[in-house]
Amino acid sequence: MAGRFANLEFDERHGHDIQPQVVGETGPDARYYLDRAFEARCWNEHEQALRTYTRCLQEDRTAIVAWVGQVQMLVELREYAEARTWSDKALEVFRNNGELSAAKAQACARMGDFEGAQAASDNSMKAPGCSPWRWSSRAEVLLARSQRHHEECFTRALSEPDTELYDRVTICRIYRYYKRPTNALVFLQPVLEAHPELGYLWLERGYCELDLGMSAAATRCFERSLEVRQDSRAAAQALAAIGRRTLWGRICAGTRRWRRR
Amino acid sequence: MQCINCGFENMPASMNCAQCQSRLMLDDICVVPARASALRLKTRFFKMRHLTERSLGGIGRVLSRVAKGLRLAIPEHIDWRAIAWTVIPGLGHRRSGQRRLGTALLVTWIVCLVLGLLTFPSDWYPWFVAGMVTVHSLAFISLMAPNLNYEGFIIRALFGVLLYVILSRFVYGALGSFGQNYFVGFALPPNMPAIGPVQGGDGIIAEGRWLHSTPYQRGDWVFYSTTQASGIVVRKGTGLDQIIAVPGDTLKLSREGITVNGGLPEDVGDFQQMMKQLSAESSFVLLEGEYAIAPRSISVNMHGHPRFDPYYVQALIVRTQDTILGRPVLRTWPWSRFGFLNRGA
Repeated sequence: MAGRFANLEFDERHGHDIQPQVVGETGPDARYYLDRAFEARCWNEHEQALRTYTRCLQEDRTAIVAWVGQVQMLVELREYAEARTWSDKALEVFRNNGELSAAKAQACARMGDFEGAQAASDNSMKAPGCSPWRWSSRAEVLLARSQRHHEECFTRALSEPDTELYDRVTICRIYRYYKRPTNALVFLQPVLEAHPELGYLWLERGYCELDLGMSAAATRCFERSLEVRQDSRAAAQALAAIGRRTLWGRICAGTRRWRRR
Repeated sequence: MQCINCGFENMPASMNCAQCQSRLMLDDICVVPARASALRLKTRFFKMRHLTERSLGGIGRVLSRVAKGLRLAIPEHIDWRAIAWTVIPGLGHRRSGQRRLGTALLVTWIVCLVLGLLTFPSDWYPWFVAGMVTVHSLAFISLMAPNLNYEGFIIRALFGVLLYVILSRFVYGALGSFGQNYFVGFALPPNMPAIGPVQGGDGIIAEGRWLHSTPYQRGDWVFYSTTQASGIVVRKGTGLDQIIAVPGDTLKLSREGITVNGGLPEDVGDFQQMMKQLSAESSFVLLEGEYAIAPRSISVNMHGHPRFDPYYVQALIVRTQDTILGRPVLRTWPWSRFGFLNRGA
């Protein structure tokens, strides 16, 4: 029963102040929502980010960043079929948009439709312009097919002129999804050393170390993340999950640690 | 109006951008994406579908490489996805664009399937199954035909024959064998006299051993396998007779005939008369899994003397459950008497 109302927005419950403010050139409220959505996705609050992107689009339907964000959040929430459908709908509005094609490629790759993913990735590269996200998506398609050169694509993504700090987090999450935490840490570590004040970077590192079976190190990372932001649900849930581990979970973690030596 | 997607300046009131065809008027567009259910059924379905296509394609590529290694003539550049869809003949053609041919193959196959089911297990049934296998083989061959690099007619013919044999033995034959665990078909000979609910020439479906859930009851008509008991010549094959006693019942064979739990079994026909020729008495209790039937199709000839030995007859009329093939449930042939057979009728 509670699940039916799980997606209603109770601002007080989430602890976010989503009062509209007049900022930015995209629209009076859209920029504010974009920033809030970005913050939510940094902290792994994908459901909140999706809702905020939707609010942004209700203010300004031309915000392509929000359309792309919606598809990406659906992918993070593992609703791949819906993500693909929504990317197709967005592409009907914004034809041959490279970012949307790249998002569709990611959805197809995670669903196992490698041919569709390759075609969408090719379309995104052919579209005018370039961005780190297109290269990251292409790298994910190669990674999904276990083909080589994905690392080169990720490196190329980071060499784009408009690359940002969050692009490394994107790469880290892609590697984690395909169960390559070591590769994920390679891309995450430099930015973490440069910006230790960003709590969500510690959160990502905690996930990587958990995947490597290093529970103690992961716990420290999650606690560090909570020091930066006390109400981070993702960090709190991760810590609780570590505490609730059964004997079998500890054995699996130990096995992973041993294999990764 | 400037297009958000490509930046092209369009005429006012344009609906779509002249350069990239993106929509310009976005006010009526829905911005709330459809969400998945808790089970994410759509995603799971597509994941499974793509995985199946990849697996079948992968198996096909492996077989192709193996065949090349063995220097067999296997065509290259085959549309393996269409081959995978040809699990149902015609679907591969429809997906690869050959809609008419695909529809023709599909419809023909379905017609053969339906007619085969309707005539099962009469003499017509094998012909319709052969038709299904032929259509299936043609579907595969027509998908491979444009890319065949065979040098001679003989190799092509051998390939077709091999494909037909593989499909009939290892696909349809395997499915049929598996299906016999659920339903068993019997085509009764035309000159067979009427027995119980059936007549000569009937096509009967009996429930198989995996479908049979409730124990057999007294009065059930069942198919059972007949085997030769020592000293008794019995027509080898399958019999159809009535169960007269179930596990736990006490059977007594004597000159008065056969009794079950002290009483006479109902309607066993000439069997009682045959039992009255016994020279000795015998009494026993049926164990777990044993059933007594009243066989009407036995000719007993022990060393040329028309005598019955109760021990041999015991071995014959008491059948264990694994020799009972099933209870007839449906008459499919002739169509004029198509219908279900009531239990004990």
